[in-house]
Amino acid sequence: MKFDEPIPVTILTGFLGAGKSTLLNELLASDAFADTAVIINEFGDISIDHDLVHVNQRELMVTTTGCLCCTASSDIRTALFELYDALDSNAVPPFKRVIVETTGLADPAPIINQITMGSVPGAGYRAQVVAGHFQLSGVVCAVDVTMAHGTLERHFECMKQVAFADLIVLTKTDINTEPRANARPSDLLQMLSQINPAAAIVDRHGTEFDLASVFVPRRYVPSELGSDVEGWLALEQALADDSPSHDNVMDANRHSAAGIQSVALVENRLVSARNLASFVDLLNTVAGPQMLRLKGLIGLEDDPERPLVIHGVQHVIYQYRLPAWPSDDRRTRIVVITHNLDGSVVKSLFTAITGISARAKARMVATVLGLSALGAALVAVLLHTFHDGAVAHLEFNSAPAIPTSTGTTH
Amino acid sequence: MSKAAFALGRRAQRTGYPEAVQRLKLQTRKLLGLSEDVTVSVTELSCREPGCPDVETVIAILGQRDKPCIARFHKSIPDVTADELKTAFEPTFLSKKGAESKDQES
Repeated sequence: MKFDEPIPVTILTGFLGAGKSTLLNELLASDAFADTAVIINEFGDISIDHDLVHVNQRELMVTTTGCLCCTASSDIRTALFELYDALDSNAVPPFKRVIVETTGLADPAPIINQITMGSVPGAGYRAQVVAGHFQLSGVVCAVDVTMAHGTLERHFECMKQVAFADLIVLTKTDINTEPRANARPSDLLQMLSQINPAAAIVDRHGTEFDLASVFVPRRYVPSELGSDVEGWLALEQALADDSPSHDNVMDANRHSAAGIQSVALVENRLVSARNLASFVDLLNTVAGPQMLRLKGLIGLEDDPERPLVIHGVQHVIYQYRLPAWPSDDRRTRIVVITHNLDGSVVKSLFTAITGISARAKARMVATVLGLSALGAALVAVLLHTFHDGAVAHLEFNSAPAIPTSTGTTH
Repeated sequence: MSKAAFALGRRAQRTGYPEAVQRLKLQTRKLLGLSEDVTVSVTELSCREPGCPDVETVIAILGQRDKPCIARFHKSIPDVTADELKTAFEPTFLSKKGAESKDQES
């Protein structure tokens, strides 16, 4: 099957918690963006984002776990080829565009190469099909203005995401934060412009903001984004050619050794709101800036039918209730992404604080109290027995060792 | 709090990627006397595959015609020093240049 025109693919990137899913949800709610295929990639062993992105019946969603830029089994080329294959066999309704939401830790270079490099000599069948039927038509990068300074300084991935964008969307500009000397809006704009002078920058909460126009297909030309971008794409290809052991995709996971870990917490039982709050508070205290992201779908004891969605971006936590579970999977699922923090610490905290339900905890307390009372009674009985014995012993021993002379003489 | 945090595995943060990338590019250019039509690319990779280095900075010199000249450093971008650049690049790059000039003479 040959499409009349290549299907436009827009990459939506941005660091952890930058607001990518929020933008995507808003976009998909619009009738103009029906007939959209969405590819969502998540970093971690369990997927949550697909439950948090609302896809209507006219839209199609593919999810992958692992990292688009790293794992051969979940790479963007495979996902696009599978979409083509499904369309070709009429397994899915036609779609007009594809939006790829990357993990917040994605390096855009290999993703872009996987979409665009199919036309080079020696490319495989899948690569040729993808390059022939899909066209990269924009890279949108969401930037959380409340966190961007520190994130750009500390995480190379964030810098590359900004550099590869042809359009930057500033998010959370409606949140009032305490101004810091190095975090003025003008400083951030200057920093973004230094990294990427070519990208247009729009404010998500600006009066003239038009989300649909952000995702309008356009010509994406890496060379117009500067020598850094071209160099990264060339280097990525050179390294991929040089690494056959990794199935022509660079590294199986580029993130863990940089100290970044994804911890998956799954709980079948309902969680008490108080226990959850204690867990989040303690995690924030222990991890501080080492907690990059927390996201979860939680079944609470007080209203099991309405799960709680919790988002944490570094130290900022926000939450809301869903009217119902988005899928049949009703387990509590939390993903915590940390930097230089042992994942077992997070698991231990979660198990220690939320692993026991309030009812079980109450039963345990009652049992402990019961056992304490039983123990106290036992001690009292023993003491009483001991006391009686001791008195008897004293009474028995009260007879003098040497009988007192009563004056009887023999 | 900080003592508890360190006991639980926290470590110091690395900082300054935008500046560090620019510094390494400039130092490489200066060290090897590269012209403007040569691209210097700096990236950082990580991997947990057995046998692979953990964090790796990769610096590539991408000429118009040549195969890329690549140096790898088993540390993060901000930690790579000018001395390490010199040690990594000079022998490879200069021997390559030497071979090219011999070819031109012959």
